[in-house]
Amino acid sequence: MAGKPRVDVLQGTLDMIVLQTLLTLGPSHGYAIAARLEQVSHGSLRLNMGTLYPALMRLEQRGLIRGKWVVTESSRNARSYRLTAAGKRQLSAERDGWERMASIIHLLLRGEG
Amino acid sequence: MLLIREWFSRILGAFRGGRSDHDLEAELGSHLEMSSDEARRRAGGSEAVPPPSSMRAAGLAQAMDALRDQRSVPWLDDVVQDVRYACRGMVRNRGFAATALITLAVGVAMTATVFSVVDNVLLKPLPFPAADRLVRVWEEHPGGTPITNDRWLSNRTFWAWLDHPRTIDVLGGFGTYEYTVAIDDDSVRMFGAEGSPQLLGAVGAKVVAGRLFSDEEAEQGADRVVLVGESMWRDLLASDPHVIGRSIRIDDEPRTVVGVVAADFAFPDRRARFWLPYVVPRVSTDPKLNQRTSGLSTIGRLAPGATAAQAEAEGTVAARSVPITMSTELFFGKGGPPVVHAVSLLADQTATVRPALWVLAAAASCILLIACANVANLLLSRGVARQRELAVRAAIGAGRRRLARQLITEAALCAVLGTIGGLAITWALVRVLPAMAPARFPRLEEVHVNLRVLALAAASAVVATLASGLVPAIRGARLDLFESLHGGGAASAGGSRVNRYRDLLLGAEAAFAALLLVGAALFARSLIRLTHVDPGYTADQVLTARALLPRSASPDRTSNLIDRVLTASRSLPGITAAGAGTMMPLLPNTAMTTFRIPAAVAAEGLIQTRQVTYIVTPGYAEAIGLRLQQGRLFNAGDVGAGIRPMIVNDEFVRRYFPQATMIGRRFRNLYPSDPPMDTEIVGVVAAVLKDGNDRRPEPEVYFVHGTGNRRIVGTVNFVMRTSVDPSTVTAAVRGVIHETDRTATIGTVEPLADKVSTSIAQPRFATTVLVAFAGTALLLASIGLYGVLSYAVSQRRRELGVRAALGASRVQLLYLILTEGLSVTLMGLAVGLVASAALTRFMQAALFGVGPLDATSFAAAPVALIVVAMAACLRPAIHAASVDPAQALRTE
Repeated sequence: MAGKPRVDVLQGTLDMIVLQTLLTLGPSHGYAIAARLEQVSHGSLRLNMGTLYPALMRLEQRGLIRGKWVVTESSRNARSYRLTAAGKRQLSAERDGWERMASIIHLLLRGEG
Repeated sequence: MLLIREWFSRILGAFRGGRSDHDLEAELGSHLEMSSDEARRRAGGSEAVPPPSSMRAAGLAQAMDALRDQRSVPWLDDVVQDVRYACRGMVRNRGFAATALITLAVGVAMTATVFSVVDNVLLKPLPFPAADRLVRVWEEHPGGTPITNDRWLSNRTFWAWLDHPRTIDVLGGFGTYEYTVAIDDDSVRMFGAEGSPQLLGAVGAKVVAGRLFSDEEAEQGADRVVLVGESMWRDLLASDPHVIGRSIRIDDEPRTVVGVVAADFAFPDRRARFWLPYVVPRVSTDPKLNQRTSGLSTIGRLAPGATAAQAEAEGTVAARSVPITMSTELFFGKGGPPVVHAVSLLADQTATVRPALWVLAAAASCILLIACANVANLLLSRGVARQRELAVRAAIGAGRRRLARQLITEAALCAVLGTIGGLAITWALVRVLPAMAPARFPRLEEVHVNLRVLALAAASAVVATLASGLVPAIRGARLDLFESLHGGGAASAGGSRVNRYRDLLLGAEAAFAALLLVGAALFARSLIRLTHVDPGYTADQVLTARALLPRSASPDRTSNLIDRVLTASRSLPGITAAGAGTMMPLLPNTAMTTFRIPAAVAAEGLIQTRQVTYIVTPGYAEAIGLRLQQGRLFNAGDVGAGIRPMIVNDEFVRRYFPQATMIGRRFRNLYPSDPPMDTEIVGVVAAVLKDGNDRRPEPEVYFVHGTGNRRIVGTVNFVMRTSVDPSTVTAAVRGVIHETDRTATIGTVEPLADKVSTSIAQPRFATTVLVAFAGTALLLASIGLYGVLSYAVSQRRRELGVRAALGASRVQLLYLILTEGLSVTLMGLAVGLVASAALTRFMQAALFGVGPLDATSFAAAPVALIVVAMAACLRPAIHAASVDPAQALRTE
């Protein structure tokens, strides 16, 4: 895994990434989110705790996700987060925006071809 | 929207509304645990390969910092923490906190209350449109003695000015009077007002029905009309929808209602319940017609852009363009060429209370300054006491800015809490004020704590914060760690700079207290003078009653009423003397006459006299208690005698017949219009201060009712001396008048002493308030002195112990502390007295019979201050004297 190049989270996309992960996984705790992102990116996207947890707190303060303490299958205490209705709305809005932007950038980058 | 939610959560977080540190740590811990589990699982479940613990700790700490920042608003977090810390400190030092807060609250409350009153009474515009252009206008004939203290414009000047006015666009007469109003068969006494039609319009009269007056209705001989106020229409006319055109009788004249005026119209003041057109008599050029001058109370409205000075100049030209006749001189006195004055209506209406209010405002400001100095001293003392604590906090890494901010937060908290407390007290005071204040205090019903006053209180809190927080903060920031931690703290704490600052504050408190004490002493002495002036009559045990006969009643009916009421009331139990007169003390009406009589020395020919002229029945002088100086009073035999007896007062003698024998002096045909009859002076009495104790004596003469054409007609003032409490015979006297003549309207029936009391209510109120202020100032200053000295003694135990060990006696230690406390007080006192000497002349207008440099007042204030200062010093001094040297030295 050392061979894989690390990528940084693109400015402003962290919230969307976290929300999308929660939509995919269903209610899950911070470690699961980090693990999932690492897995999906084949190890190139690794969030440290100082980035991930403040983001979760921010999303919770904005009412997009809600956290509560649960006991995991491996009988550990963990704080599990689930998307709220507002979170789902926000995600779909952000996804639309992102897709529009991505296609524009796509066109732009391959403009001549 | 999302951001608002986030910030709301974060602000809550600053007040401990977010997740706890413990909760956050547990979540991060669980993350690390799961990460270890994963690592262990990957390594084959055999050996755990956890990341090095130092790395884990670093990651945890960094994540916690980031979470804490996200949880709340970092700077707000610090403020909340500072405030929490300050609150804990206050709770721990309850005595200190209570003293500081109460001091500040009292200071803020007194300032805010007095300034609420000043703002509402003196500064807020009158409730009239273009109020700043309204001016009170009157003329003065310099050197002449006017008939009364009312300020008038003559009708001649009025019409001359209105010929081509440039500086004014409205000029009108006005006045408030008591009338007898008869609707159907009921008649009541009530206040109504007169006003020129244009003036009523200019001051914003609005009708809810009907119309205002037309200009023609203010001409002589016009149809008699009246505007009723909404309250009168509701209460007396049963809200009659067809009131317009209805006729009501006012002072026995039928008048047609032409309009109903909206309830909020309060002109000239709130007493007026209906309005009549003010008729300004025109001056005829035909010598056979009316050529008499009359005096009018006048208000003008300045033309846009014109100044009061320009109006004065134009009015003066008008006043000098008309002839000055005998009747003009009767009103204005015989003086030089007339001068017209124009003064802002607001200033004019509040003139009686203005000087006293400004004195009180200055006094309240002094109290606030004392309070601030007190709080500064308390915080300063505490700052010194906490020097060690601050040094320790600095040593374990608190930045100087952080410490300074902590100290300022404490001061600010003090200021905010004190201000809130002060505003609560203000709110309550302003509510009870109208009940406490004298009855005729202008515009007091309009007082409420308004935004300007709130701003003022906030400003004073800022002053308090800066004054009391800055010094300890600066000192805290300059802490020398080594010295504070090492130098035994308390013994060397303070330092000469702080001591000097503290002495300065104490001195300032003493100076302000001295200033207030001198002011209060002056007011109190002035009030005592006012109540101890001999008014020329004895008000105690006298009942006065006013009866008014309809205008249509014949003169004989008045005489009949007087005779029968006097006879009946003299037989009432408890009444020892009774009389009646045209005038009586403390009622506003004044009758003047002028005589041309031979001078004391015949060679000098005739002299012209002007005097207040009473017509009274025998018994009046005894009932009211006139002071007979020579000769005799009137008796029953004087009525209808062939000669007209006259009593004069000492002022009349002093002014017109000095060094002459008065008793038995006779004058021929004093009244040219009367049938020929000689007048003989039978007695001399002391002057009566008819219009109040603060007035100067005027020449007065008395005639007997029923001699020649001298008689009481229409309005009768009964005066009865009683052997019992006069208010107990009120009902009996009312009954007697009512039974004697049922058409008579009974005016106020009240003890004369009540009238006297009302007449001095304003100075008494001002004095009470100022004395209370001075007492508060004295108390605050002594609390400050006590606090600082107690603290100083506790800090100097070691030094005092050494002194005691080296042989200082208890008396010497006592003396040491006493002189320290008193020397500061004496210095402040000296400054305060010098300041008083410079400032009290601004009080002159509010003083009576006492000069602004009154020696007694300037002597009394220092005595009070020194006695209280000694009392404040005594306990700390005794404490110092009782220091046990062995123990004091051991504790260090």
